[in-house]
This record gives sequence, C-alpha cells and structure tokens, in this order.
Amino acid sequence: MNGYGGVDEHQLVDLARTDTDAFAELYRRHVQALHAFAQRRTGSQHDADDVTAVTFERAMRSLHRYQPSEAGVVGWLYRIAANEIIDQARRRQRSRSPRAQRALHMVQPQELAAPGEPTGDDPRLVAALDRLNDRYHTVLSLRFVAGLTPGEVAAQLGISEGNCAVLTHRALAALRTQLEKGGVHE
Amino acid sequence: MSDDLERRLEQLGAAPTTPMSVTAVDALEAKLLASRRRQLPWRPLLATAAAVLLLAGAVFAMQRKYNDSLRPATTAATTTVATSATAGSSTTAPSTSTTTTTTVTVMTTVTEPVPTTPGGVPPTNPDTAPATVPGTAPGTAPPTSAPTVPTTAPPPAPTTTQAPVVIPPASFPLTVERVGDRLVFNWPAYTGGDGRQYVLVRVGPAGLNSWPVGPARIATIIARMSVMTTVVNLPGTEQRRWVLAVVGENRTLLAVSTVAISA
Repeated sequence: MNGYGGVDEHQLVDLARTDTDAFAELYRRHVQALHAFAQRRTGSQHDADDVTAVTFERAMRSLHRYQPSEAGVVGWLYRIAANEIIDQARRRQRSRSPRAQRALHMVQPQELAAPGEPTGDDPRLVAALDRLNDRYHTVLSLRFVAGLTPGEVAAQLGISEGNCAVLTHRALAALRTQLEKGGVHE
Repeated sequence: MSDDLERRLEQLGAAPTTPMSVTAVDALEAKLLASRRRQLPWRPLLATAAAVLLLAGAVFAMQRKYNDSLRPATTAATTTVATSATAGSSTTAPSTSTTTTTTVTVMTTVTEPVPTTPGGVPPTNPDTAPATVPGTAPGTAPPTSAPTVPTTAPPPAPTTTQAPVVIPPASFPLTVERVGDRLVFNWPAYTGGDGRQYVLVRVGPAGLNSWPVGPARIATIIARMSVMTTVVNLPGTEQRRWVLAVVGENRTLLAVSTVAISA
C-alpha cells in the first residue's frame, strides 16, 4: 500500500507527471473501469486488453497536457480509450478489405483467420457503432457506454451541453441508419 | 425509437464484463512503469544540458561585451580602409599648383599588427593604433615606439617591414621672422577640405624626411584651418629650420610647406 490513498484525482495526476509511484496509483484506480468500458465497447476481452494497455501508454505520454475538467481523470481516460477503439475499428475494417483478404490468403492460405467480430451481448450494436464517424462514435461511447453525464461529455469534447445534446441526437440517428443497413429491424 | 436505441446503448454500458486478471493488470503495470523509468532520466538530463548551454552562452556573451580583448578585428580593419582612402586622396596646395602625388602611405603598421597579433587581439582603440597616429601631436608616441595594445596581448612585432613614408614635396610657402624672443610664422590658408590641423615642426638641414615625427620636434599644433599665423616663444638667436605640415583625418600628412629658417 502506498501513501496516495487520500490524494484526490487532480493532485494525483500532478504527482504522476514526475512520480512513478503516483502514476502506478493512478493506473490501479482506473484500470478495471477502463477495461470494462473497452470490453463493453469492443465486445471482446482480447481487444479490451489491448485498448486498456494503449490507453494507459498514451495517458502516460500525455500527462503533461492533461487539463482538469468536469469529466475528471476518468473521463479523460475514457476519451483516450474511445479514440483507440476508433483506431482499432479502422484497422479491422482495413483488414477486411478485399485487397487485404487477398494478401492474407497469399500469406496464410490454410489458416485464414476470421476478422475479429464483436462477440459481446449486442454484437450488431457494437458493429454499427464502429461504422459511425469519430465524433458520433465518441459521443455515444462516452455518454451511454461509459456512463458520463452530458456535462462531462461536453467537457471532454470541448463543446457546450446544448451542442452535446444536438450531437448526441444526430449520432443516435446515424446509429439507427447503420443498424438498418445492417439488417436489424427495430 | 430513440428511447429504445438509448436503452440498448445503456444496456451495453451496463453489461457484465470479465475483469482484467490480476496477472494481466500486474504485467501491464510493470510494462508501463518500466517504460516510464526509461523515459524519466532523459528529462533531467536534457534540462541540465540546456541549463549548461544557456550558462555558457551567457558567459560568452558577457565576455564579448565587457572584455576588449575579444573584440573582433573587423573594427580595426574598417579603420584601415578609411585611413587608406583618406591617405590616397590628392592634396591641394594652399596657394600654389595642385599636386597629385601627395599621398601618404602609413597603413602598413595598421595592417601588420591587427591580424597577426597572437590570439587575434586587435588594439583596443583604433585611434591609438600605430598606423592611424603618425605621432604629430605633442606627447604622442613616436612611430617607432611600441603601439598601444591590450595588456593581455603581447606587443606586436617591430615595424621592420614598414613601408617607407612618402613625404610630399613642399607645396606652399612658410615664412618666419623673429620679434624679440618670439618667432612669428605666416603661411597661406590651406584650401583643401580634408585638412584637420597644422603642425609646426622643427627640422634638420634635410628638411622633413620622415613622418610622423617625434613630439620633441613639434613646436605647436593649430587645430583651426583658417589660421594663417602663429607665434612661438623662443629666446636666443640660434638658427633653426621649420616646416609646417598639413595633417588630415587620422593624422595623415597631406601637404608640406617650404623650409623656413629662423635666426
């Protein structure tokens, strides 16, 4: 047990910029929440592990840029994780392209691995989320999957709550369209 | 519709998850901290290096500002050019014909010590450089004496390679007559715009054959070019020879009078 138990989040981030033990405490406090968010969002334990690792690596490198906001440290970490999930979805889409599939066949004709599909409770919903643009994807992930309040989401995105509400509404409409394209009837 | 979609999203956010295993958490923590420990030492090192460089730069700047021995040689070189240009200009005799060969070549002692001084240390003041001071003023060191240099630098090499100074031919008359214990000198005003002062010099039988001259041979210096007469208090009846020199910028010799003999 270290001596950071009574240190609040923002102070901990300040300390973590120069203190390795403080960074370890920050990690311990949030790693499971981040992992749960990533797992729900990706629908995959394996992908969640990757997202969690990358999120903390990025957070460690950008600690000096952290600005306290209403969403707090956890909101900041969710935002980093959401960005990584977007990047991961793009990489997956590229690997599904016909060109990438042909290349993969040439390399591994006998053991062609199936592209990673969401395997969580609602895989179609997760797949539709992955097809949204970055902004819609982020606002829905932070608002509904991570459970941030509209104010916290707005703070993370640097917009007003009113704008956040409009953005959320449009993102939901876009998600519905994606679900319909995917053959899911509401 | 939207409510239903929101409900699905919220259900997704509340879906049970499998926590990251303790082993995975520990492994990731170890990986992160190891990476962080590799990164951290570079920051203080970089900061220290930057501070040292800044300090060195500040010290160097202070030395350049306050230590004359580090003054670049370009200042003296510029003076040399100016001297040369002035010395090369033609001189107009005060009352007689124009002479075009009256050039003074006193640049050699300037160009010699400046670049070849050990450590690249030029004279601290261009005005005291041996070449630009022919030694016409009273108290000025004669040309063969060691030039003024900073105390941190050794004296320059002796002027053994000094080019011969060309004394212009006499181009205007100088008259002298004794009035009691005083000698009264007269001459026509110098009309050239480049003259800065007259220097009355006591010369030997050969006349003025070197420039600059020692201070002991200078009787007086007249700084106003409109002056055409001067008086020297000199008791006795010993015969003496005099020449009036017209001196220009940087004490270059512009014109020389005929020899006047006082009794």
